[in-house]
Amino acid sequence: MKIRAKYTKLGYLKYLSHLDLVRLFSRSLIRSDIPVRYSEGFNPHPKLSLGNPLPLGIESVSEYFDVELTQRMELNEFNNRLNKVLPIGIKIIESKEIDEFTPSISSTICISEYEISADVINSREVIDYSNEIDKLLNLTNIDIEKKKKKGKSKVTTKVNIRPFILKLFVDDVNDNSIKLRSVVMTGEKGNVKPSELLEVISKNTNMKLDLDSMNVRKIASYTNEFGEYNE
Amino acid sequence: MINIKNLDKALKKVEKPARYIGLEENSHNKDINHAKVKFAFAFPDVYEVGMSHLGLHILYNLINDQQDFVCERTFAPWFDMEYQMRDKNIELFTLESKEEVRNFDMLGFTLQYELSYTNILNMLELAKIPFYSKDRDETFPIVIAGGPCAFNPEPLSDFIDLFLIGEGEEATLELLELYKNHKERGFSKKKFLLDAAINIEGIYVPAFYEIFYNKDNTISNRVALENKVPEVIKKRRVRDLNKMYCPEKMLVPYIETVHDRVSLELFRGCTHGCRFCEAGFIYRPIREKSVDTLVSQAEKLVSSTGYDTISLSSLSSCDYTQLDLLIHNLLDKFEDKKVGVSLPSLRLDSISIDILKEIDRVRKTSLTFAPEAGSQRLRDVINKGVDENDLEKAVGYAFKEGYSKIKLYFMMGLPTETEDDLIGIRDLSYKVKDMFFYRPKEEKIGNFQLTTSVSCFVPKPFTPFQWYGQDSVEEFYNKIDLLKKSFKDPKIKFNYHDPRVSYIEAIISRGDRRISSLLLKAWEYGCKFDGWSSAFNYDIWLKAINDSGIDPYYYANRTRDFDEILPWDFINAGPTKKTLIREYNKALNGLTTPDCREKCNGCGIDNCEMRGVFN
Repeated sequence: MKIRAKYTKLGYLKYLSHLDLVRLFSRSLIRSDIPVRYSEGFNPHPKLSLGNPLPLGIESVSEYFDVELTQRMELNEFNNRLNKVLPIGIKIIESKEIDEFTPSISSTICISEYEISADVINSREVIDYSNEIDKLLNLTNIDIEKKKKKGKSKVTTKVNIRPFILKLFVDDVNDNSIKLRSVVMTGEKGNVKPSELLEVISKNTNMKLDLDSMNVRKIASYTNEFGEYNE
Repeated sequence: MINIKNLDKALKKVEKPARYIGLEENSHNKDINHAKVKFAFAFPDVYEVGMSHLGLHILYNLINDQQDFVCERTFAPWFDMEYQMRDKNIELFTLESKEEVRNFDMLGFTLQYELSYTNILNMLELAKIPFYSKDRDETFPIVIAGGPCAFNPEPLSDFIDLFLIGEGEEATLELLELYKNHKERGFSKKKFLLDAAINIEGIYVPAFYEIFYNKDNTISNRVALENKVPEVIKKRRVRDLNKMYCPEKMLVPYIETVHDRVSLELFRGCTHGCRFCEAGFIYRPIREKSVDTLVSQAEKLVSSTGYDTISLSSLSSCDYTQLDLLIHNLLDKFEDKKVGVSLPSLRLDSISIDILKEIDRVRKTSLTFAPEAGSQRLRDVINKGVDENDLEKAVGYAFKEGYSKIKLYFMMGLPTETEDDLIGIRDLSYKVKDMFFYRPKEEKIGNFQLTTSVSCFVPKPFTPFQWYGQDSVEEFYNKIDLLKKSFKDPKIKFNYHDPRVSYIEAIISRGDRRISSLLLKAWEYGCKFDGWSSAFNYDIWLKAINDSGIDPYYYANRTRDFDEILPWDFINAGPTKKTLIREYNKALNGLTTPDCREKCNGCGIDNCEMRGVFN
């Protein structure tokens, strides 16, 4: 039986890396006595696969992993048993059965919705934030420099991220901080990080944002531009 | 509590933020404000190293199981985090409550290796706690230290209020209890320290003693400054390990650590009496847990951690009397769960084909053997009770079982060592290689790789070699050159330990109170994480040695006289000085001493648990 589970990553646990999470779920499966299937070979490991890595330091209420079991199990029981051993901040919200034909998480989920808050450095100036964001989105080219590993050396390439920004708007303004909402592509076809959004805002508009104060939460994952990924 | 917003900003800038967040499985969730005594356990190295240390897990659970006490952890922040902490005014804090270490009642450092001492100073400074014990009043935590290096506490005696000598589980609770009583009556640092020094065995308070020196720098006299404080500090030892506290839980780090596995402690102590080995002398006598106790502890630990490997960790795990039975029972119990068993070190004489087979049932790792010296003559000198036949037998078994990666450990600079002994290291390595390739073709399984590692001998307190002078750095490099030239086979990888690091280690490990000025200078000049080759800076150490005015030759290279008062002589670690002198003389004559399972050699431990067990 194959299960796809949706989970949260909140609080300090946003600092766990992708590999840390893999280890955490492997150990939690053992501890919760879930009959997980192991790979063959010298170093058997649980058949477990996680979606695309979330950048370090970002919270999420919409992460996914797939796991294979050797026996059938009620989904509710699967959730409950795992949640009993998972740390505060990482919780299974729901899970569903999938089959061998279900496409992998990383090939399915390619769009993320983020809530981003940050301090505005020049908050004393009179600026219409929404207007500034609209000005940014009216650009046809928003170039950033991305570092890529090519073999052993690092190469920087220019990438136009405008096509990957599907939505970006001001959600709330508080004294000297701003809360943005954004839907961006986060997959192989295009990838925008929240920190890059803040960078291009500071660079291309009159709004100057403090990158160090950034707090991000991923609130939804989508399969395509039109609909939320449904369980 | 530290400013959480600043912490969050700092964490976003560092390489491995999960080192500093806590919240691991089995970490406590007590409210520290309700605890009667707040204890901060400090490991003076980075998180991954500290979390692999079994003693931390034992003390953490032991203290937190008590209603009145709370224990939280703090580690040396890595360079990037230290920079962020200084930049954002974040004091050294504990992982659990993110509370400033300075607000705890007690701060306890574990002393695992001398090269972590500069980190202790750095952590005190990050905690805004004055370095010197005499500069700290009741508003600061009582700073204590324990662990193997506490057996020579003198180099740190200016900085530490109180040392705990020996095994800590019983004495720590006694100490916390005493602290609680003093706190309830109105706390005075001096009264508390005096009460602890007089009434708790194994406690040493350096401030209550004064040391006088001869013109030649040796110690002339040691004077107690307070009435009733003990002249000799007797190390603590736990007498019955089966009844001893054993944690049923272990903290499970999120990030990869040095040992990502259950640590199962089979026994304390060691019976071999290798003459260079400090642990072999200070943790005497051997005390084993029963198979039943161990299997039930393993079950609890696996189910509370979810680890997939159980490491049998003791000084020389293969010595466990019922090892076959234990491994068999463990593997049977855990095979369904794919939990494997690993042995961190193998001795050549006790390894049996059955053990290798059993371990093999789940997973294969490389095998490590430690002949320590290249010739039989020198192995007799150090009383390493193995010979070439043992090695041949063990390696033969290993190859037959399909292991193709072997590691051999040696030391150089041992007493009486000659060039022949060094060439013996090469010869032994080549012999192992030949054994692999001289077998029938169908038996040559895997890709053969031999790693021969040579470390530099550091004379340690409480060993028979405690008087012996270390080779100079130059002599070590000459020996390395000789060995390097003699290894010309691509199948054999030759590694050596940095002699400069071992030299600094030797200065500190046999140091006296005057070494504290060197440590402080080294810290001032920027030394920290000296055990990390990426951080160790020899030139700065040389400058610190020069500027602090200590004579490095006096501490590291000079062979000392038997009648000299050694800085650690006031500690009773078990074996008597007479025993150590006898062993030293036997060593120089190439005479071996039997394992104490075979025969009691009368080392002088009172009420030795071994009597009547093996003899």
